[in-house]
Amino acid sequence: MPVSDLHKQKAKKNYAVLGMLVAFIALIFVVTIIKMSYYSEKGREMREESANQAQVTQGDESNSGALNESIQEALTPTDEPSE
Amino acid sequence: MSNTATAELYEANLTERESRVSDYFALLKPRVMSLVVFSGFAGLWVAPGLADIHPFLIIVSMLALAVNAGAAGAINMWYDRDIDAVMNRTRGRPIPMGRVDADEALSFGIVMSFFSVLVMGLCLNWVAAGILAFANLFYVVVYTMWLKRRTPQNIVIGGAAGAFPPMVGWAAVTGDVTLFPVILFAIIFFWTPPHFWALSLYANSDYKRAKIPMMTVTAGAQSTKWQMLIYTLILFPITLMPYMLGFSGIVYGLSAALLSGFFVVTAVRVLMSDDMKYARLMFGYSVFYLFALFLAVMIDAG
Repeated sequence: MPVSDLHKQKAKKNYAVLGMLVAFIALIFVVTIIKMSYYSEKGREMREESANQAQVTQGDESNSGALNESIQEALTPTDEPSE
Repeated sequence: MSNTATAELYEANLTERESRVSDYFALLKPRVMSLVVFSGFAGLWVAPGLADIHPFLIIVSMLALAVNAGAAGAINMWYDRDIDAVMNRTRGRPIPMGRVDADEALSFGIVMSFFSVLVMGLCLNWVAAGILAFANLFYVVVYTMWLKRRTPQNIVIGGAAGAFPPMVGWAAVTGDVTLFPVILFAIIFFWTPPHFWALSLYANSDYKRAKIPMMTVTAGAQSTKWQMLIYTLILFPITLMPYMLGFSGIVYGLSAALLSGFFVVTAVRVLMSDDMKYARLMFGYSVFYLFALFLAVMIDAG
């Protein structure tokens, strides 16, 4: 089959379009991989951080509970006569 | 050269040689693209939460912004190919020179617009992608197809299209739009008329020949010069707003005051003289001004 200059030009353009499509697919693939790994890592860090935060808050609450109890004890009058 | 002769040259050039990659690159209006990318990056840079985004996604989103701006430029060149061929400033563009077929330029622009919006949405978020798509449509439909050949306010209203990039950058990081990116939008919006009219002052004969109703053609040079001065005066306090509202620090505040002050001076010089040298100087300074202003915003944000 004779190949004219027009055929060659069209072939070049088709290859250029093919190259761009392949590049686009590769880009979407890379973006997907990055989003999956990077953001799952970020999410894990955030979950850990919030868990730590919750532990600290719970600790504070239990400490303040103990403090309250000791204050209550100190303020409550005892039946024992003072010397 | 008469219009007929130019049209003949256009027809003759069509079959002269095949397109090159550089011709398609020229379709993207690289100089306009650089300003769009820079202002978009500034919006992204000052947005809170940038550190939480992977650098590769930032690079790809900026690429999407650049390609989208270029694609809008390609569609603009397709639509304006008749007037581009009769204007000295634009007759060297790929379509009037016959280096790229008009239909190919159109499909190139549409495909690139679609893919750039898709990439922005997939990479970062759909708010940024939505603003990007809106900016593209605004430039192509509202400015190029509707306003440009109908009203001297073409670049005043159409200038909004070029003002969206900082908003896109900001939304790409935060997923929303707040007052700060709106101020950055306003800066570019009010900067566009004096910037463009400075160009149209010394390219007035081109616009007359192409029958584009630029302000310099319909209202005359003197009226346009006054309006340029008014816009630079309006722009002055707007550029100070990020500092006054606490979005930026003293580095930006001082830079904005100096740069905007000198912009007013260039407008006064244009008004006081008939020498087109000052209009050229003002056009050149306006480009530097916007770069410097956004650089100051970025430096200040750290």
